[in-house]
Amino acid sequence: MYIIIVGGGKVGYNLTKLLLAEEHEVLLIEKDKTKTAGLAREFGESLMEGNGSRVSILREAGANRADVLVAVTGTDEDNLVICQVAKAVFKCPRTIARVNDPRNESLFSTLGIDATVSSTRLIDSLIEEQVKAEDMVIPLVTLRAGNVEIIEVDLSRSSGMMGKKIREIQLPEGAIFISILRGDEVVIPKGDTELIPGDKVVALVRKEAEQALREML
Amino acid sequence: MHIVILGSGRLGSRLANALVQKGHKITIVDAEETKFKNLEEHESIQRVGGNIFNEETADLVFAEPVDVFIAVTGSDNINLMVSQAMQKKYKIPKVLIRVFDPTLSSVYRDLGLETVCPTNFALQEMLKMLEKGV
Repeated sequence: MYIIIVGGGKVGYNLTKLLLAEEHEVLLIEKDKTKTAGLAREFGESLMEGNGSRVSILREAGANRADVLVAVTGTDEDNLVICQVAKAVFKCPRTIARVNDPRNESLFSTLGIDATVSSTRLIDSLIEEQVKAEDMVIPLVTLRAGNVEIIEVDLSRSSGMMGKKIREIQLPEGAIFISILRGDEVVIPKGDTELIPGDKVVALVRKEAEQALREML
Repeated sequence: MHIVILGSGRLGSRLANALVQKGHKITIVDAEETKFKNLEEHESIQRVGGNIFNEETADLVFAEPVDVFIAVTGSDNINLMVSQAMQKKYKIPKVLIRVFDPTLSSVYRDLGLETVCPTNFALQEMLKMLEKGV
């Protein structure tokens, strides 16, 4: 994939590094000369100096053949205009904008930006998940735009599943156990695996099934 | 008509002064209140200091229905974002946007927004003057 990233701050820098490591073709555009020298040393030809909200700069960057354009400057109006130009002029199939002020999130999506990332909102949801963890359900990974999660559950002694074999347990639709942590051991569950006190269960679950699963445990 | 002007710089304050003479009611908004110094004292010019994305500021500006919204801050991208946001939120019938960058101006024109590019105007004007003189 060819990915253009506009904005070489912390987010743009780390994103470029990550995507290059995954062997994508990446071009990072940064306008600030005090930043570009250091970035060029690390990224070489994957760095371009220039103002990414200029049509001419995006053209030079090859925006017409980019699969994704990501605008992650610290200024919302710049991120919006960059993505809109990428869509309107260069028919870029996917544009992603960083939203610095969470109030702008819904505006960006009504104005045609395909996806937004708000660090404020991410931090909020991380805190929220930590709070949820207090009732012993720890989300480990959120997959596919938040629809599927891998969670870790401390099986409570009073759980109806205690002492039962996996095949006897009727899990809610959209939930499956992927492993059982028993002491230092990882047990791959089979039909005749029995759940015993002290077990931690790792499950893959759809968001809509999470509540039902939690009630069973 | 009730006309809202965002940005009280050279163009914004001149627009306000001129439009009030034509009998319109003006609300002019600028984050920096010192920018209001070039406005005429007129009962039909309401000055609002603050960021239009703040709710209290927006409530003041849109207390009465708005017929025209004009964005003339010094930043093209701010003008473009605020105009689109206000147009969506308040369904304003007419929105005019100053865009210094001629290419950007025509991109947004193609998207259906009414943009005004000073560079293009200067270009046309100079070409006309040269045609007369040469």
